[in-house]
Amino acid sequence: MIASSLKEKLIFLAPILLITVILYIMIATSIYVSMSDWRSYKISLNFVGLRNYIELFSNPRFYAALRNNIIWIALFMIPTSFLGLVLAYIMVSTGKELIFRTVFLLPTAISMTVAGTLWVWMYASEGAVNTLLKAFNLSFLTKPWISDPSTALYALIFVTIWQYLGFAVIIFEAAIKGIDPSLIEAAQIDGASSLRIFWDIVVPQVRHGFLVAVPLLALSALKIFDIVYVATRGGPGLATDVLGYFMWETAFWGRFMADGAAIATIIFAISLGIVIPYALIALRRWFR
Amino acid sequence: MMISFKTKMIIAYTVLVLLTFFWMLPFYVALVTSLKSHEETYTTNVLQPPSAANIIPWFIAWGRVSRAFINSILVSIPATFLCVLTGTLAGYYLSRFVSKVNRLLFFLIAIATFIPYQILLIPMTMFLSTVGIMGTHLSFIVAYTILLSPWATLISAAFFLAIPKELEEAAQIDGASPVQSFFKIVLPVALPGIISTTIIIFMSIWNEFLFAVTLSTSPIIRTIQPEVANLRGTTTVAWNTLMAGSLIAILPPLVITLALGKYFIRGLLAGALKGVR
Repeated sequence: MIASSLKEKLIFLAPILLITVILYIMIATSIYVSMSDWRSYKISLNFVGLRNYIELFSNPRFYAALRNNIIWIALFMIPTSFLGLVLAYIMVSTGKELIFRTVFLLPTAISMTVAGTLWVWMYASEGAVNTLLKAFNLSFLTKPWISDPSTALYALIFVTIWQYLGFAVIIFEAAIKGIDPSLIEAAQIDGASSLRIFWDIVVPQVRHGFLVAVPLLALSALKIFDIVYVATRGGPGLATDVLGYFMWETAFWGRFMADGAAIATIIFAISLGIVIPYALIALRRWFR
Repeated sequence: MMISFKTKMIIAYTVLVLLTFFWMLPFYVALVTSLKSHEETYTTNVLQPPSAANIIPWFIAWGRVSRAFINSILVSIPATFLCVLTGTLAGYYLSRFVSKVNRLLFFLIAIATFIPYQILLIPMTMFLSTVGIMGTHLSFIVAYTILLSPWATLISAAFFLAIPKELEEAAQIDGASPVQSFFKIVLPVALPGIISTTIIIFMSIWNEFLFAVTLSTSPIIRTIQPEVANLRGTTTVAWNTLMAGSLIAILPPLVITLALGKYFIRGLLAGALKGVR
């Protein structure tokens, strides 16, 4: 085995150790700030216990944002991972992955801020979505997508599907290529239809693809901020308000730092339910 | 029911081509809009190309976002370098010396990588103010180095795990220290992985918004993503300029994806902790 002295260890690990320690101190600081009375430009860290949480839990805006986050996670994670799998399967079967993969990756590569900006224009009254609907004689469906409270949230969720589909495609493409081809050949010889092969062989064989894609997609929807900031600022009303935006506005517009930290702590607590199992599974996969 | 191979392929291509059109539509509409005159954006159909390419919106947009674009370059490149340096050193060590302590460290780094940034935002601004660099380019570099070094570590570790250990064991039998064998033997072999790591980290920093908008305390140091958000917020900016500005802001990631797509994909897979084959 390779010998390693303390000095060598430090050369490799000192920078990341320092950064990791800083990050964990920051997490602890955030949790402490959430129990302080810091509510102005001037820093103030007197301990007030759970006051900020109690006030937060009696604020209807908190529940509106939480509800939107839950809808966002469900309506984003499930279609993106499932459509990603189906598309990856179709792509692999055509053998022309390179070109299509690039198409779906371009939205993944750009910032969510710009994605939001492009789609604000797509969704405008005279924008591309309504123009296409009119062209297909579906004028009755046209609407101001993101200024109508009944569609705004779903319109933004769709943009995140548009962005992350490429990510899901990549994950499932790699998973599909890991399937033993003899499994599929045997089924084909037995005369199984493509649909049967997809459901009975591909879907179960790519479950580790789901284990990678689903938690990461859920986290992306949990911390969503950029598109809400650029497209709607949480509006109309609270139609597209989410915890990430509520937190930022509370802390950095209202300067209610302690209350913002309380929202951040709640986002963090929810995320641990996803991140800890995810990290444990990855750890086992890597160092078996 | 059995469908012939040919029919299946026709269905597959139809689905893919239709989705391709729809998926590329926002880029097409943005490009077409950015080349129209202000008047034409209101009088013509959005899907229709401009009567003549008008590059004035691009000049106006560049005038509005050039400083932010340069700020983003000044911030992203040094921060990416520091993250990749930290990540490569640590990722190598973690992939080579598997012990209980290292597994714990890997776990703590993985948690730090994937938690939502909101929990770090307030303490980071406190830290940067205390150090006295809030409102400078350095604040972005420090913040992004702290935020993204853990991810760079995990991505590098994934790539190093795919490189056989025997390589540097042979070098060490010949008397090289781990540090020497890392720089002379491992790094050259690991170059493709390091390129992937660099691309992923650079693009994450370029595209990041939550910290960017919070640390952009003045227009002088504002980076590109908050600048685009700001353009959108100002009612004086017309759609053609806004689309040109948006396209300028995504130019670096688009070029990287088109030119180095293979590395980007390998980096995405490693970054999702899927492991590298």
